[in-house]
Amino acid sequence: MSDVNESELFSAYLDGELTADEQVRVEQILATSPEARQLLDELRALGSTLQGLPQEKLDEDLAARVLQIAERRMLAPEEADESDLADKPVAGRAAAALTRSAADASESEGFPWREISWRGILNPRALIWSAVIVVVAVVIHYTAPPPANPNRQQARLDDNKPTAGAAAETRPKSTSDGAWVGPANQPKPSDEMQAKREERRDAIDKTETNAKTGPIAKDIGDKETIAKAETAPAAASDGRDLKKAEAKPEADRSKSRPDELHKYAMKAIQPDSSPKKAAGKDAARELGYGAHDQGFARRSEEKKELPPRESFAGNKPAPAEPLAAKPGAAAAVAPVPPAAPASAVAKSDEAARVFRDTPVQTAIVVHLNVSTTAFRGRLFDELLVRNGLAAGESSEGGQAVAVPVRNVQAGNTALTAGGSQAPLSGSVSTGGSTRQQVVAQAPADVERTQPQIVQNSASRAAPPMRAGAAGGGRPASLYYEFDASPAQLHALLAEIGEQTEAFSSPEVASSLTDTKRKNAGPAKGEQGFADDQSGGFGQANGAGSGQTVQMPWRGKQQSKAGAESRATDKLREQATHSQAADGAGELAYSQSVVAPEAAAATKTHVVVLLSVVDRVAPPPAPAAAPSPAAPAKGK
Amino acid sequence: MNDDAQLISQALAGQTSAFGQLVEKYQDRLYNTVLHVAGGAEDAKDVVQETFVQAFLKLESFQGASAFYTWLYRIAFNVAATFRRRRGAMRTAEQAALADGHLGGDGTSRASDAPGERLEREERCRQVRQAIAQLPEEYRVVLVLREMEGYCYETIAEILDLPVGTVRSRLHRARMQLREQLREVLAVEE
Repeated sequence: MSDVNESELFSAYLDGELTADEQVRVEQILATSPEARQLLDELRALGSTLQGLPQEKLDEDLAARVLQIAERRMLAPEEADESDLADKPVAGRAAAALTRSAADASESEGFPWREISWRGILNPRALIWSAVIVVVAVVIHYTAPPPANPNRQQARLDDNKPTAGAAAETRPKSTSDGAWVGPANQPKPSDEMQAKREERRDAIDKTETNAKTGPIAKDIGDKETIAKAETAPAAASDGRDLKKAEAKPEADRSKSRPDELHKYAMKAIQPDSSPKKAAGKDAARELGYGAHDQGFARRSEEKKELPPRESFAGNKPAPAEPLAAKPGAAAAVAPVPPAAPASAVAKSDEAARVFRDTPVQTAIVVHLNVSTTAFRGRLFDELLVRNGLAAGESSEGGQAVAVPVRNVQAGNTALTAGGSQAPLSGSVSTGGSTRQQVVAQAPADVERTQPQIVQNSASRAAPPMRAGAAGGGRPASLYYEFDASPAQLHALLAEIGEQTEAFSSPEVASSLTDTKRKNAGPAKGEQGFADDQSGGFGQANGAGSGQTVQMPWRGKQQSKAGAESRATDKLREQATHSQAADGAGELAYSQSVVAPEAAAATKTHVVVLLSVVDRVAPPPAPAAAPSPAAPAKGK
Repeated sequence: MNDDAQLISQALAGQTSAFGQLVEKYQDRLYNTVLHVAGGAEDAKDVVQETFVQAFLKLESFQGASAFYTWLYRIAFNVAATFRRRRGAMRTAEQAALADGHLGGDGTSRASDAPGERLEREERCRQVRQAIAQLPEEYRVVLVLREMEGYCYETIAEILDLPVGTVRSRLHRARMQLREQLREVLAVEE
C-alpha cells in the first residue's frame, strides 16, 4: 500500500463498490502485499464486529403518538411543536414530555402511564431543573399580583347594568367619556355604526319581550344577557362584594374591562368547561362571543320548552337589523324582513320539506380566517348551529352534541385519537346538508367546479376525502359545505362580521359576477339577484361563461409559490368590485349575494374555507371616509 | 406497487392506520440507526418520533423516486442535526449515550451464558459503541448507514446528499479510526 487512496480501495473492495479497473488493481496488490491482506482482514473483522452489535428496539409503539402529534400540529401549528423540545434543557424536555403525555391522556380514556419515560424524568439533571422550575413558579405565585376575581368582576359588570331589560348596555360600547371599551383589537366603530347597533339591540329586545315566538338559538345569548341584567340587582344583594368594584375608578374600569373580559370570554368559549369559568362564560356573552357557554345540552333542554328551531328562511326570523359589523359595512347593508309569525313556526316541518326540495340557486365560496382560540372553541360550528345551518343530533335520545373538531378530516388523513378513521363522523345536518372536513393544504381536487358542487349538494353525498398534507407550521383549514337560505346566510355572515377578533372579513366568491349589479349597489341589485341566479348557474354548468367557483385560498397558495392562478385574478377582480364607493367593503358584497329579502324558496350552496391563523388581522379601515358627522375612528 | 407505496397511497387517501403500519414497520430499524447518530436513547426516541411526524406531515411531497425508507432516513438525519444544533454543546453523543445507559450492554444475554462470558460480551459491546460514539459525526453517520444498515454508497450519498466519493473516503477513514480504537477488542475476537 503506497498511499491513502490505495487503502481506501480496500475498504471499498470489502463493500463491493469498486469499478472493474479498481478491482483488478486491488487484487494485484493483495496478491503481492501481506500488509494489504492484513488490513483487509482487520477491516473484515471490524465489519463483523459492528454488524454483530445487538439491535436495539423501541419499547413502545410510536404510531398512535405520532398521529396524535401530527393531528395537533396540523390543527394548531404552534402547539406541541416537537422541534421546540430541542431548545429546552433536559428538565424542560422532561416537563414537556409530561405535558405531552397529559395532553395525550386528555384525548384518551385513561392516563397513558406506559408512555411516560420514567428514566428521562428521573434523570438527576432533569430532577434538578424541575425543582428549579417549581421554585420559580412558587416565587412567581407569591409575588405576582393576584388575578382579578371572576365573581367580583362579574359583579362589577352586573353593577354596570343600570336597568332590567337594557341588554344593549351590556355590549362593548363607548363609555360616557367616549372611551372605546370594545375588544382590544377591534377599532371603535363610527357613531353611525354605533347607532345601528343600538337599533339592532333595541329590535332584539323588542323581539324578546313582545313576540317571544322565536326559539332561535342565535338569540339565546341575548336572552341570557337580558335575564342577567334583570337579575343583576338581585345578584348584588346576594352578597357579592360590589363595594370594591364601585370603588374602582371609572377610567380604570373602562380600561380593564374589555381586556379582562376578552380574556375571560375567549377562555370561556373553549370546549371544556369548569366551574371557574362560569364568570368567564358570562363575560363571553357580554362580548357576544357566541353561545358556547350555553352548551348543546342546555339548548336541548330549551328545545323541550320551545318549538323546534327553524333552519330555513321559510320560518326562521331573520336578524332584526342589517349587518353593521365591519367599519363602513353598514352603509350598504340590506333591510331585513321582520320576524316570521308564530304560525310559520308551526309549519316548520312543511317548510323544511319545501326547503329541502328547493333546488340550489347559486353557490358561493366564503374564505375566512379564524383565530386559533376561536377555532379551538368551535366558534364557527356554534355559529352554524345558531343559525340553523347545522345541529348535531346524536342517536341517543336526540340529545344535541357538538361537532367534535378532532373527528373531522385533517390533512391527508382522518385523524382521531385512536388513529382509526372517522370519515366525516362529525358531520351534521338539518336544514341543508352540512359537511365538514379539514383540509390542511389546498388539494387539487378541492378545486371543484360549480356543477360539481351542485351535484354534490343534490346527491348529499360526502365529498371524497382530500389528499392534502400540511407542512409544518402551515395553518390547517376547515372545509364546510352546506345549503342555506338567504336569511340564514345573512345572519351567519353578520355574526361573523361582528366577531372581529375571531374571524377575518369573509371573502365571498360567487359564480355570479354581475359587476354592473354589484357596482350599482346591493340595495338596488339584491331583489333581482336571486332571479338571475339560475341563469348564472346555467353558465357555470358549461354553456355560458364557464366560470367556476374557485377557492380563494388556493389562489393565494399558488401565488405564494409563484404560480399565480387565474382564479386569484378573478377573486381580486371580485374583491375590487365588491368595494362599494362608500367603503362598504367585502361584507357589503356578501350582503348582495345573500340578500335576506330574496325569495324564501331560494337556496344557496355555501362552501366555507376556514383557515386557522394565530391571530386574525384587524379589519381594514374604510376605503372612503364616511360623513363628517360620523367619522370612522380607530381604536 | 410495493407494500410501502400501497400504504403511502392509502395514507394519502385518508387512512391513518396505513401510516401507522409504516411507523410500526420502520420504527425499530430507524431507532437503531438514529441511536448511533443522536447518541442517547431518549434523544433517539425523540428524533424517531419527530421524524415520523414530519414524514406524515410531508407525505404528499414524497415522490416515490427513492424508497420510502431512504426518504425517511433523510428526514431523520435532518431532524437529528436540528436537535443536535439546537442543543449545541450541551452534551456530546458519548455523554448522552453514557447518561442514558446506551453503552451499558448488549441486551442479548442468553440464559445459557456463563456469567463471565456474558459480562465479557457486554463489555465488548460497550467498547464498540463507545468507539463509534467517539467518531466524528460525519464519519459515524456514514459508518452506521453502511455497517448497520447495509446501504450501498449510492444510497448513502443520496440520503446524506453527498458525492459518492466523499462517502467512500469518509467510510474508509471511519473504519481506520475505529480500527485503531478497537485494536484490542478485535484482537480478542480473533
